[in-house]
Amino acid sequence: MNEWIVAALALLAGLVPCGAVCLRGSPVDRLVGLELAGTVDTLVLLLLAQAYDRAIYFDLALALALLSFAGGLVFARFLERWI
Amino acid sequence: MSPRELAVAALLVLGVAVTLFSCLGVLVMRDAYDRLHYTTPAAVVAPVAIAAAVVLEERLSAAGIKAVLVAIVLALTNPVLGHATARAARIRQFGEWTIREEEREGGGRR
Repeated sequence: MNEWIVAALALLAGLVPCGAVCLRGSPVDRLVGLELAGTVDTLVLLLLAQAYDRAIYFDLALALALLSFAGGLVFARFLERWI
Repeated sequence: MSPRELAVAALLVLGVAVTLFSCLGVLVMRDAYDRLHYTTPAAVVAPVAIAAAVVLEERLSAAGIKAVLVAIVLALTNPVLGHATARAARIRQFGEWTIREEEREGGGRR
């Protein structure tokens, strides 16, 4: 247990409000919850990569940051008209 | 505790606290437009603080550079995503996303 793992575990608690937002309200409200959850997950991966001290694990955080961005754009596009 | 370790711990606490308060803000706000504001600190302040902590710990090694890259990506993509989401919300609400006639005078919300 170093300080990085403690920080990652503390950040995981932030996913609970995000999940609560995803479970109620209008579809756009839920999309906002999903976007914030993607950001929090990216930060958790960043902290875990440093906790395990492997430079290659930082690529996971980078990939998640880019993919959650693309996913959010696709959801926003579909929510405009069709869903 | 050396000053460097102290700075790392302070930056981590800052990043985690900002993210947790953002999550709480998203939870308690009333509608999507209000909620969207609270995604910004989690995507700008927190990654910069955590990346700074990683750079302090690792110097500018491969890990440090990638952490900075993640922070830059998050900070750059969040405004685009926020705009797209708010646009989608307005189109669902009004059928269009540009400024509407009754919004030109008075400057009320939405």
